[in-house]
Amino acid sequence: MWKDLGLHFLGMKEMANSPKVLKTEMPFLTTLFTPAGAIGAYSKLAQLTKGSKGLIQAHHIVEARHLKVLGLSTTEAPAVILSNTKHVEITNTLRSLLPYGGTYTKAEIMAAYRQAYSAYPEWIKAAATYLGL
Amino acid sequence: MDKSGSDLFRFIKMKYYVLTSKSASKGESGESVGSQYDLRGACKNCGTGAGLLGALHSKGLRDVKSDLFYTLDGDLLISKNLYSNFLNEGVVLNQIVEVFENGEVQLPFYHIDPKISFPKRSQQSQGLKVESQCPICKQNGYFNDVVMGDLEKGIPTHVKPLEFHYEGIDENLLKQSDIFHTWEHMGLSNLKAEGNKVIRYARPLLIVSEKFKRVIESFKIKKIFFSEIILHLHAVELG
Repeated sequence: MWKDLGLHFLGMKEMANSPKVLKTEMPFLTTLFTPAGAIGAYSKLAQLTKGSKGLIQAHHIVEARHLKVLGLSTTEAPAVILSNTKHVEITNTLRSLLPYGGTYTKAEIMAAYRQAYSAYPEWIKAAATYLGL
Repeated sequence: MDKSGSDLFRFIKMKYYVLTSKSASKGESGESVGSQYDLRGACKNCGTGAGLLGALHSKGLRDVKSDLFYTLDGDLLISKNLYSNFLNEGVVLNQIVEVFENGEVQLPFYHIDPKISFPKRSQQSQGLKVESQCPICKQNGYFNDVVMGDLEKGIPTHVKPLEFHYEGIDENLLKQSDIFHTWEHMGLSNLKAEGNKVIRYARPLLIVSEKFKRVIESFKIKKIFFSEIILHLHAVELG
């Protein structure tokens, strides 16, 4: 079932092997991962991950550090829910392309995200739309 | 008169650096969490140059243990322990500001807000580029100059080093503090919230003295970097 919902895409394989946790602490998952609901405003998705004890986390598709510098809302920004493991993996990839401490233009941010998110074209589209590109 | 004994000669010999941190930023501060700003000296078009009024408000910093770090909003915070060391070593910070979490709980940090700015860098400076700059003040819209990496080839992005040159710095400026703002402000400013834009005033970089740098180095804070600036002083009559 999890695979059918595309959860493997979001690094949820390992969580699908823990049905007890999913059943008791994340009952919303079955409604969350519909094709239309995979990307949502960060504020909404962050609410949904409360109580998961960090097993799943809302991930800003455009990281908050860039949104701040560009003067864009972090709460309304597009986000997805990832497993903790996947979140760490993606964050590390993004850090190698846009190292901490730097301030990057919209074009540079998109150039990095096109590489890092090559497997997730809908994320790239959401990032470009939000950045106004 | 012995030139080496003059105040000016002493300041010429002192080195100054742009301070940068390559650690992940922590928590939020400033406009987005209720800090108040004075816009009287700011650009009327974009708000760049707005000055913090009163305490700095923050969110998400309660569990932070670092001695020196930047918030996601670009404000520099130091621990009270580091602040004590600055005082003991005679480092002049000009202005420090208390930090309140969620507008209520005072945190064991100070925000350094020197209020004193270096003039505009000279044109030969390197390491920054400009995009979407305010056409009125031209003080915001600065970004790091980078060579984008290639994930497939395993090449990380290269952030070009900062090399700031200044012409004719006034010695009275250097006497006032061991930390200064740059004239240039990083990123974009929004005077008003519209669409997905929020109110935000671009932050300057920080220039620090050799004395400031020595204290930081004694704390062995990781991922803090100092890019030496080059002062081109005009010929001055000494004595």
